[in-house]
Amino acid sequence: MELKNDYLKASLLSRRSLLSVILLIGAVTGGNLWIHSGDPALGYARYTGYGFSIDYSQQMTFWESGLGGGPPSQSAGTVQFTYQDGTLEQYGVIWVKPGSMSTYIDQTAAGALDYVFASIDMSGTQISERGETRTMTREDRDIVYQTFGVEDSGFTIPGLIGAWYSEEAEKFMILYLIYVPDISQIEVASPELEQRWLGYLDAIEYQPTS
Amino acid sequence: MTTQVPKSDVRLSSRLQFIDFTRGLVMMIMAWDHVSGFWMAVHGGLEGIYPYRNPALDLTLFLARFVSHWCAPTFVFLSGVSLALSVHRRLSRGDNQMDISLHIIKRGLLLLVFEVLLVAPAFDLPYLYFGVIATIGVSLIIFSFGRRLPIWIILAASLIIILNHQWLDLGFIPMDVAWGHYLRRILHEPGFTWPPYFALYPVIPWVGVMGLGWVFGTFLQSSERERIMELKLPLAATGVTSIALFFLVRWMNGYGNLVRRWSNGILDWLYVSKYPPSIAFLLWTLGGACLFMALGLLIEERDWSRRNISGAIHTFGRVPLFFYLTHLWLYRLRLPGTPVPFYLDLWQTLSLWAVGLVVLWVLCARYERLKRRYPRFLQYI
Repeated sequence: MELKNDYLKASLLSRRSLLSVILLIGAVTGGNLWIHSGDPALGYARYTGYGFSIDYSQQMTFWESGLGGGPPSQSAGTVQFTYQDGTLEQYGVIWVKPGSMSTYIDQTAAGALDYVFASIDMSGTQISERGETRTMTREDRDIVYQTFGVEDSGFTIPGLIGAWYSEEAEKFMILYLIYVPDISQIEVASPELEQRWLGYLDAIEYQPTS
Repeated sequence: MTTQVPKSDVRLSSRLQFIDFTRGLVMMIMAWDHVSGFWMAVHGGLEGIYPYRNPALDLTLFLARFVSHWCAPTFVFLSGVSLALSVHRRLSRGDNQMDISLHIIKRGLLLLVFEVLLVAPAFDLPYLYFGVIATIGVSLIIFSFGRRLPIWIILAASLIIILNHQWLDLGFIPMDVAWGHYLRRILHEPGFTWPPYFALYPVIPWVGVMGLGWVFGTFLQSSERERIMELKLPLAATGVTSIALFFLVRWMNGYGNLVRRWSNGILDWLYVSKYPPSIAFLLWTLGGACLFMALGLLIEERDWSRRNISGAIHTFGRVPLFFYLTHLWLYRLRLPGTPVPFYLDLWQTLSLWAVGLVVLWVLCARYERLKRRYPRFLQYI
């Protein structure tokens, strides 16, 4: 491209200034990428505690408690994130130390699922159906998971739950998700349910607990 | 620091028709977005403010909204182009820097007034609503003095803003007091949570888009017309590359997205953050703008600029502010605060859009003639 304007030739397209632009942009953007490499994305916040962290949208309300009431502890607890505006999405992480579960429950991931469902039942929430238990291996973790339905105002809201043991956190971890893209059709399970659940599963970071 | 534009520089005395074409084209698409927002029961929007796409939108309605994404970035980018062309033309005419700056400031302030008095009420939004016209107004005011920086600094600053704004932390400005809340909304964090302090087009990312337009406009001003006509291929290549990078960024699903891609479905690939504009959003839309400009150059080269539809598109592009202010109320067809009396389906809305464009063509052509008669009186619109 031939330029008539000496001003442009001397500034924008001179090799030196173009190199300066590239270096400046590379330094600032590269520096930011490095500094913020572990940060949550814009509009997201990070929940950290009890041996794990997970990012959630700042549009979501967040709530934590002990399993079956009271405050959460290193032994057991739950954190739940909810978004509702035409779409309903609720996901939560439950953690249980193996010794905290009743001795008559298998100290396995499947047992942890049973323990969580029993706790939910005691809290008054009605679980109407539990799907077939399936297993998968994700990042060297053996995960047991199944679909479930929550009874609410005569509707059955579909969800997905899975449990695994975290060596880092030394706990059973349970992740559940209820996702209804259109709350006017609250009983219709989304084909994206499993994909979103896997997305949250991959988003969990683990830290050793003291 | 001053820009040393030679006084003998008289090139581009006539308009660059491909710029008018591109602007006119996106304004027509924008009119579609607004008419569907005014009259259809279900309409997309607030992408990015909502972390999820509207579940009520099927593929057709989603795409009907998605095409409108091209409008705001192209509009803001071309505002920068026009500003550069206008400033350099005035400098070559011998106008002094202070007069030029004052002219730009007046235009910026006038846009803010239009936003309050004409635009916000058309959308039934509070008068403090900060929309695309307001962000162009504030960006113009910034450029009234920022334009005097060396162009490579403007280019670097614009790209740094676009590529890095997602990390900007304005946490030092309090969100629980009205002024702080409004300031953060206007500067960087669009939202609708505290009436009347609503904002959709924060200045910080958008001023970078205008900066890119300024750089491109300066480049055009400094090039021979025949050389500009040779930009078709580079523009098309830039557009295709930009759109390819959009898919790369969406595939990587991390930096540059702001809204996560939750699945491999087409709607999730295309649901990108417009508020604020993510890098993915700008790659798609500014890539599209490059393709539109290449098409505009082809039309200019073949001398199709005066043919029926092409002629109308060019007319819209020559009087963009008049088109913008007029189309809102023409399509709205009701007083502020009045709810929609009934909803139209997709085909009825398309028909209304098409009829409205014919009316707008007549109005814009008449206004253009009027503006030629009274150029000084109508210089800001």
